[in-house]
Amino acid sequence: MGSISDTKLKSLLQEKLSNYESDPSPRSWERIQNDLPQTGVSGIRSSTVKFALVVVVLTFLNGVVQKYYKNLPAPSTTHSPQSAFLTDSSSHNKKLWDPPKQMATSSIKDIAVDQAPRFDSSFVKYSTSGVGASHFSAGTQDLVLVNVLLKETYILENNEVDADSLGSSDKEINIFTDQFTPIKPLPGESFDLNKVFEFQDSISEIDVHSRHIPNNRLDSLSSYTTHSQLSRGHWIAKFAPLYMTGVFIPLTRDNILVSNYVQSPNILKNRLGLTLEFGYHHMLSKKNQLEYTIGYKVFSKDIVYTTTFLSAERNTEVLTSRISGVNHLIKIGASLRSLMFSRNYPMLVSFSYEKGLGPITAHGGSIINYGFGFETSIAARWSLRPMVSYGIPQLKHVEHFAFRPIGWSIEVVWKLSQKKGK
Amino acid sequence: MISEVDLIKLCRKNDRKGQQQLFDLFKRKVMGICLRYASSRMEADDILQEAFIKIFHSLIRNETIEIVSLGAWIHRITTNTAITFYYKERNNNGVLQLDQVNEKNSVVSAESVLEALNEEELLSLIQEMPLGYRMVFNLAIIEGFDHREIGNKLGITESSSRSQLTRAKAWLKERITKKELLYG
Repeated sequence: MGSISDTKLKSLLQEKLSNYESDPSPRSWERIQNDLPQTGVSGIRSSTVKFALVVVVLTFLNGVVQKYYKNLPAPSTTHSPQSAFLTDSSSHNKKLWDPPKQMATSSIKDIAVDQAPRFDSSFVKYSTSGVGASHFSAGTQDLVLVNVLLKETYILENNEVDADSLGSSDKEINIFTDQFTPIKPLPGESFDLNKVFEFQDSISEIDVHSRHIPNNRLDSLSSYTTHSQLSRGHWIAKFAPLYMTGVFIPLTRDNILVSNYVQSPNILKNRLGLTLEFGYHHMLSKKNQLEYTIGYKVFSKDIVYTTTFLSAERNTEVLTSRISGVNHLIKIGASLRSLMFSRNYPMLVSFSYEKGLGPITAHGGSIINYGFGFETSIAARWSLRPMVSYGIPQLKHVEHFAFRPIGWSIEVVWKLSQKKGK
Repeated sequence: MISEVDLIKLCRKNDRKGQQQLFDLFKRKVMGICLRYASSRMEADDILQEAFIKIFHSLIRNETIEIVSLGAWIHRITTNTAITFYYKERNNNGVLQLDQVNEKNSVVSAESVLEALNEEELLSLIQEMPLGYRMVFNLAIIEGFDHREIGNKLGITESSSRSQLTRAKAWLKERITKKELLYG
């Protein structure tokens, strides 16, 4: 037998193996399928689809909740038998299609608001203004379905603008009436079905005379549902000047006889700080809201502390040290805002975790802060929150003391945006 | 018969039927490649599955990737997947096993034996090779990569690649000679 050369080996192997084919295991495709994205969803879009699914589910749940609240039995307010057909367009109220007898008897002067009994009329109200378009219903020229666009502004009982629900939003209502004579076609337009017309000042009549008025308030009606409040949320920015005091607590050491500390009288060096936060405010329930924030905190400290030791020979040794400098911290926090005790001055309870570097928070130490305060509205989108907070450091920050910062701050809150309520 | 371009389009849309068609079209060829790099049919199956998953994910995610020849592209991905397996295997086993091969015995007449061996027998010989030999041998002899490229792919030096190939060939020839003695 002759020897085999490298070239021969190569050509033989290439010839035999380069195009060699074989069947894989019958279950290969099944296994491959399991690792592929779901059918019809490309990998790049799968996260979007998942997100969309979550949104759909939440929207569905939201709808269920809304339906639940709408189906709650009405409180004291009763419907006028001649009431008619001022309805929220989104509700597609059945009364729109009640027997013609009721429609015929409806009058613009005693139109009641179907939703009124379901609202908490003692809490928030809205005034209406604005003119919409009208659509004529099929069947008769006398019976008119009026589609009115209203501008909502939330107002508190005491006539003050509600800082929480401030802002206006568009609302659409439908009115069925046979008394809408002021409507006239625009010049040159025929009196056709579904033709859009202007009201020509008749909106004032609707506002003043045709509104069912809870609590005898003109130009206002109840427009508050738990659902609409729950759905509202907004972004906020907070700015808080801070005045820091603190408690130095000596750590337990057997040989420390006396511990003392002196804080610098210089307020700028030792007392002041600043917090900047950004976050989202949303409704937990009708009277409780929650805020999540992330922010930056800076404060300065200048402390001289004296430690007196008892040495092994029963002699005392006095050691004086100083911590001084600016502390920068990253802060994440959550605040609960509750209207349970007062509507005008909501109570606030806050919790925050602060992490940073500096003389007080050395070695990346962290502080957990608990805060308490209240809120008062100062302008449409602005409110003030006097707060006091107490911090518990998570590390020993000073060699022989633990520093428990107490902060006094006034948070200036700016409401950046608000979802429109219906 | 659906064209390659349409097949790619379907796979990019994550169309399961299109993916299955592509799989059916190339599975035998890919398995052939995998068998050369694997030490067993089971391992080859693993490489094949991994390779096809990479292929499909790649098509879905990189919608702009231009594929001139689908076959060549799949071949390249399969080879790279096999190399990934090699790295895993190497990490699991530590340093590459280098069989002691008596190179003096490597110059043995074996051509007739080699010619007589069918593909399966050859594959089984290659699969018996130590991992490092098998990789270099495949890349150099079957795929035609030079030692610099092999060194880059396997994370070894060029001279290591050369010496591994020499040893791999010697190892193979020795096995073939044994078969020659056995059959002859």
